[in-house]
Amino acid sequence: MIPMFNKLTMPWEWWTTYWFRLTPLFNLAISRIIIVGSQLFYLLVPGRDGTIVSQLVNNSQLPDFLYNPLPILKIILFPLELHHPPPVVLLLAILALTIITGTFGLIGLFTTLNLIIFAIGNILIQAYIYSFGALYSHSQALVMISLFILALSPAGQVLSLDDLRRRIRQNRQRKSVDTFDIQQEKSHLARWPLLLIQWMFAIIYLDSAMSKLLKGGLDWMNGYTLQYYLWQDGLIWNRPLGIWLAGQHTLAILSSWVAILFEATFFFVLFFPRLIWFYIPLGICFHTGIYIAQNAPFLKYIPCYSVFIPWAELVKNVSKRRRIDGSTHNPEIIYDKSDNHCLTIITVLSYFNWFNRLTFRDWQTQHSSQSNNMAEIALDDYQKPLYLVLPSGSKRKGFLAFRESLRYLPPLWLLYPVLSLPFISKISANLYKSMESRQ
Amino acid sequence: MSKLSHTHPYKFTVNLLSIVILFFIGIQFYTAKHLRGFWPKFRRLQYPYKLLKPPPDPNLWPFVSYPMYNYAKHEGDTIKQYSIYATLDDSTEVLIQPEDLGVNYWVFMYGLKESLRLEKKEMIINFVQLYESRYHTKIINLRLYNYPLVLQKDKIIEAEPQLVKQYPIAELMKK
Repeated sequence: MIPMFNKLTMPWEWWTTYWFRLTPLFNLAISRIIIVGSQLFYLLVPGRDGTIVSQLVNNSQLPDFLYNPLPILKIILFPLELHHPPPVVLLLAILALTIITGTFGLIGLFTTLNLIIFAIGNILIQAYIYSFGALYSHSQALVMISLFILALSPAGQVLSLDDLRRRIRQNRQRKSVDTFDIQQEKSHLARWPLLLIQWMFAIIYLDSAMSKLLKGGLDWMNGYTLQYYLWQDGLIWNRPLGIWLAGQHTLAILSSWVAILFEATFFFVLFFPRLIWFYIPLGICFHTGIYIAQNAPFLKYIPCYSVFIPWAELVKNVSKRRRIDGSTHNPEIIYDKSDNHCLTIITVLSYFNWFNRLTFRDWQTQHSSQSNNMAEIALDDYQKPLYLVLPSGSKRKGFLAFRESLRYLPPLWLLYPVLSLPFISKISANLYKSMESRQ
Repeated sequence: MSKLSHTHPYKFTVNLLSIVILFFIGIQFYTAKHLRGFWPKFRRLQYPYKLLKPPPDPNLWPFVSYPMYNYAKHEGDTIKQYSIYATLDDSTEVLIQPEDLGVNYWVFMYGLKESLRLEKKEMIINFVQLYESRYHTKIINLRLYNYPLVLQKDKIIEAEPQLVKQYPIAELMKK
C-alpha cells in the first residue's frame, strides 16, 4: 500500500510545490497594474484600426451578412437572447463599464470583482470586433487570457486601495503604525497565475515556431522568406523601415534565425528563470521590430512580459545597493501616533516606502531615546502631528512635510510636481489642514 | 464523511485551481495545431490523435493557433498585390477600396477579395449590393486583378498584371 501511495502523492507534491510555492504577492500586484494599465491605455488611445469607440461604431454600421459572431461572443450574449449584432448603445455602455471597472481594478478597489467584469468586458468587445473578420484575432488573444487569469488570482491583495484601507483601519484601531514590507508578503496563491501566463507564452511561441518549421522547413531561414513578408507588409502599411529591411538579404537571414531560435527556445525560461534577462529584452526588441517594420500589433505582449520579472527581488536589490553605497542617512518622519489623521498619512507613506528611504518615529515613545533630530526639535513642535527632518537638518511641518516626503518615494514621484503646482498646492494644503483640524 | 471532515479549505482551493491550470494549458495545447507534430507516431495513439483534432480557428478564441508568416519563400516568388475594379452601368471603371464599403482593410481583404478569389458567389452579391446601396448605382462587372512583384535578392521588380477573376453581375444573380 505504501509504495503505491507514494507513487500517487509524489507527483501531487511536485505539482503543488511547482504551482503553489510561497511567492511575493508584490510580483503579482505589479503585473496586475502593468497589464490592466496597458489594456486601459489600449481601450482609450487610438491604435492601428482607430479608437475602440470608432471600431465599435463602424462595425455596428456594417451589414448583417458580415456578422459572424465568435462562439465566445454568443455565449456571453446568450442571456440577452440577441440573434443579431448587439446595438451600438449597448456596446458603448459595456465599453464604459469596462473602462470604469478596469480603473478600479488598476487602483485595487474591490479588485477581484472589478477585474472579473473588466476581463469579461474586454473579451466581449474584442470578440465583437473580431466577429467581422476574424483572421486577425491573434494579437489580443493572449492579453484576454492573461486578464482572465489575473481576475481569478489574489492580484489585489497588495498594492491596492483595498489593502491600504485595511491597513489604515488596523493602524487606527491599534493606535500605532505597524511597519510593513509589502514586497516580502508572500502567498501560496501568488505563483500559479504568473506561471500560467508564462506557460501560455511558451506554448504560443513554440506553436508559432513549429508552424514555420513544419510548413517551411529550414528554407524558412533563407532570408527570402522574411524579405517577402517585409515587402508585403511594408508596402501595405507604408513602413519605411520594413521596406528598407526587405532589401537587406544578409540581415534578413540573420533576423530569420534569431526569430525562429527565439520562438522555438523561449520555453527554456520556464525551467531556467534566469534566462529571462536574455529572452525578455530580445522579445521586446522582436515585437517592437515587427511593429515598426510590419505594423504587426504584438506590442501588447510586452506588458504581459511583466509576469516573468521578480519585482520584489528587484526592489530588494535596489534597496540593498543603496545601503551598501552608504546612502543610508534617511530623512526622518516624526509623527503623533495619537492622531488618526497622522496615522493615515504615515500608513500611506509607509506603504510606498519600498526602498526604505524614509525612517518613521512616533514622538510619544521615541523622544526618550533622544535621536539627534528629536533633540533639535523644541517640545512645542512635537505637538505638530507630522514633522519631516531632512538629512541637511532642515525641517518641514504638516502638508509641506507630506509633500516633501513624496520625493523619497519613487512610486509616488509623479504626485510631487502635481502637488507643487500653485493652485493645487493651495487647495491641497487647505484640505490637509481641514482634515487635520477635524481630528 | 470522515474524508470530507479532513478536507482543509486551502486544499479545496488548490484542487480547484489545479483544474483551472490544467484547463488553460490543456486548451491552449489543444488549439496549438502545430504542436501536434510532437504526438507519438505509435499506431495505437492515432485514434485519439484524430479524435482530438481541434476545431478551426477562431472557434475557441481567445485560445487560437499561431500560424503567422509560416510559408517559406524563394527568389523569384511573386508578392501578390490585389486590386478590385468595378464597371458601373454608365460604363465607368472604378477602383473599389475598403473605405468605399465602409469596412476596414481586413474585412475587405478577407471578405470581398477572398470571395472573388474563391468564387463565393453569395458573398460577392452581398458586397455588390452594399456598394450599390451606398453609391446609388449599379455594378455590371467586377474584376479581381493581381499586380505581382517578383522577389529578388535585394529588390523587387514589377511583373505583368494578371486578371485573376471576372464576374458579370447579371450572370451571378441568375445563378
